[in-house]
Amino acid sequence: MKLTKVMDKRGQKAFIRFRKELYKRNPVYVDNNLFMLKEVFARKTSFTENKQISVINVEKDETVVCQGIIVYAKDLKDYIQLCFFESLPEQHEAVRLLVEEAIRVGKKYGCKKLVIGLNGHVNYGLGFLNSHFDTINSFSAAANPEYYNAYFKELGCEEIHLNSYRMNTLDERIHKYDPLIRKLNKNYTFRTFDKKEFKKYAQIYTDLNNRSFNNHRYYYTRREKEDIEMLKELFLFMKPDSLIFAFDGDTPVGFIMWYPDFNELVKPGDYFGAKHYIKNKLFGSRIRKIKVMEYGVLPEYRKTGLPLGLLNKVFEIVKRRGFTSVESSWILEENRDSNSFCEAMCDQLYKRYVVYEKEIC
Amino acid sequence: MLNDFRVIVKELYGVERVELTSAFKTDFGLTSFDFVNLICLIEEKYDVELEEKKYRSLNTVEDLIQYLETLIAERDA
Repeated sequence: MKLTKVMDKRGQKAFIRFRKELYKRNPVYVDNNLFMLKEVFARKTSFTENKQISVINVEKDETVVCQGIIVYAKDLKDYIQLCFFESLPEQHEAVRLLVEEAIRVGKKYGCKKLVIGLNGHVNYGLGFLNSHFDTINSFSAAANPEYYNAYFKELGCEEIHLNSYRMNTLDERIHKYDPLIRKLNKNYTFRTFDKKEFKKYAQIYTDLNNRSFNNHRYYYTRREKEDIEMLKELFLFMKPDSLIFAFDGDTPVGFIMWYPDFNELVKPGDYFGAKHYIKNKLFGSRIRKIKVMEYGVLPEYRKTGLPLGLLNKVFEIVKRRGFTSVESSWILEENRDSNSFCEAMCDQLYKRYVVYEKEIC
Repeated sequence: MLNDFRVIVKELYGVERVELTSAFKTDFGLTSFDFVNLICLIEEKYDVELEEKKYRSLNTVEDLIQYLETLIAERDA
């Protein structure tokens, strides 16, 4: 058994091949991260800036059995991250080696903890799937076999839990809050992203993210360049009304991002890629579920019920377009406000996710 | 006013028992969204505007009714 640091194209190909094979064998999951890994390898993305990155394959008899990317982000200096983890079953020794390597690197940078399941930044993904293992993942949601969790539990990692919620029909529940919605519509204006002023609106998005999530676990400051890059990619698929801002007068104070669940266009076992751009143009209208990716409200506006006003705008749009169900992205279990909002709006707690942490001092 | 209040809270949140001493959080189990929504409904019904700082400090139905009566008296003065 040996750790191989991926330094060249051959190693990168082996890394990607292993991942593709794993997903191919799986009858339900769609790989939404492959395109990003390719960008990371090509150094085409600002994901790689301000980070130290080691791509690792663990090999047994010259065959990859487990892999991950160890990331040290200067802006999240207490954590060393083990990202994009994948493994074959029954590879306890290989996983232990990989985790030990991550800890070794973490010590080198003076980190206090190892975090497993954070993909560089929360905006690129957080958590391992921890329930509903036999259900297709929605776009950008984690998908992994159950045995991944067993690996980290047996290594004594602490668990940080995340929830997602779903609404099976766009029911009338939101109308219970009509008095509040009317007041919000009176006090705030809601505007969708304006592609003609791409940079300006991207800056608003970055600024609202940074100020709304400042104290959230694992969050660290986003740079405009990163978000411009991310939004440009997302807007290849999503429409401008997928990003809605709330304004108090001329001041942006909140936002919500949603999009159709593009995984409905992908065959399970496959990966999301460029070909789906065309598929989305041709068959995008067949998608029935939406994903509410994130919403953020400035701290001083949090007690106003503004998230409800933003969600109401989303509902107005998606009802017109014929979507019939909603899934939320992950929400940290410790975020009581967001969980109680989703409990009020949704039919049920849906998938559960987990992030692993380990002290490394 | 208490009777009006009973009807509103039952209709909106299915709460059967509403007394002057009932507390919004512990007796009704209202989330912060439910509470703000209730305030908005009351504002519409009585044509008054409740101050956020003030209504956040209200604990019981009696507190709210007293505050509301003051606002209505001010409005009609």
